[in-house]
Amino acid sequence: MTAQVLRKIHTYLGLLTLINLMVFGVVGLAATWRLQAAAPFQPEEVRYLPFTPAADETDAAVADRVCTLLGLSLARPIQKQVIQRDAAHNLVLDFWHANGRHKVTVLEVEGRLRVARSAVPLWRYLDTLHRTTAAFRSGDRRMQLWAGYNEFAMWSLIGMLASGAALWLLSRPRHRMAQLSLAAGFSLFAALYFWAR
Amino acid sequence: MYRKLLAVHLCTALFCLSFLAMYAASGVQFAHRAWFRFADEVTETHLALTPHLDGARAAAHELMDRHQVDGELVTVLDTPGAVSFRMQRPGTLFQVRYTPAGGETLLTVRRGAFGRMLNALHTTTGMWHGFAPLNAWAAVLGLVSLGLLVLGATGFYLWWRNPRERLVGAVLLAGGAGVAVTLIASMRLG
Repeated sequence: MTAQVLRKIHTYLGLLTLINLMVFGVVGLAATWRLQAAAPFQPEEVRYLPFTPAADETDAAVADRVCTLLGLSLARPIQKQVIQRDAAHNLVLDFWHANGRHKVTVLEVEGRLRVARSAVPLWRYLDTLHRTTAAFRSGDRRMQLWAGYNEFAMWSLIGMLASGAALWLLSRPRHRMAQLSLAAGFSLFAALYFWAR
Repeated sequence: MYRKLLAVHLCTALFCLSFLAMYAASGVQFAHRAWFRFADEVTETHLALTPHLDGARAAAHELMDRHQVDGELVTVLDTPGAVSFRMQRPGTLFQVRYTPAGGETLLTVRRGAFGRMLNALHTTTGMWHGFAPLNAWAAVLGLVSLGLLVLGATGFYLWWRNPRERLVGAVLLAGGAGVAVTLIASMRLG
């Protein structure tokens, strides 16, 4: 009876969060081959858009309007460090988001924006998603939904580890290969832990 | 086939169990930092290194050779009359201030609690480190990630082979995967 209930819980949690677990796996594989330093900002595309700030508009208000104009909802909420000034005292808005970076220079005299965009590869995008949990307050509803779902997946993983271990102990604790696998994994973990510490 | 894949699922899960538990526990810590408080142990030691060493790397090597300090050299700051640098290993930070003129060295060791160690291991990626244990962790990260993918694939097969769970499972899978894939694609495409 207990084993049946545990099996159901284990299976249902796995099916509900299968995609998240696959994302964790793909991100982990990509992180293994990750290079040392992130490349410096190299825009893939630079374009100009007409834009004139109002006479009494604050930098934060301009940032908000530019964010809306460019449809960068994933860059919300706009953090203080987004708002900068360059050497010529132009307002620079450095929007970082899950898909990459938009570096926008407000050229007030020319009445336009310089928008430099760089995109991150798919695995970096998934890396951001795997780190996004309910504690993250995004200004984008889709990201909020994902954050809640990913939080659920994180707790589900814990639930699956616990229910899986319990199922093993209830159903086939004498399985020789299973015992060896657990011992090998735990020994490797302990050895690496103390070596690294 | 079913029994073979069940054994693969079981053995893979048990091999990865310690690592997945570590990733899950540290994931909870990252997501809910306010729930946890870590008390670091900080010690300061005055040492005498060879005077006039050629920069941070030479000083770091002497610390490794003579004072059992081992880790990755992560930051270097040259200031007038002294070289400051940091060496790091998961959960432990060595902060060093070396004065080349006389060789006086202040070594501050900040040793993190168990939870901080787990967090440091969680974020260990890439196999380019100058500190071998970090490369080993990154390699194991790859292995465990592969294990997670194997668990997903075999778990899916094991569920599908159980007709009594097929309907409820299909609804849950369609719901979960539908939401996840829609969100992932929608945010990626703009």
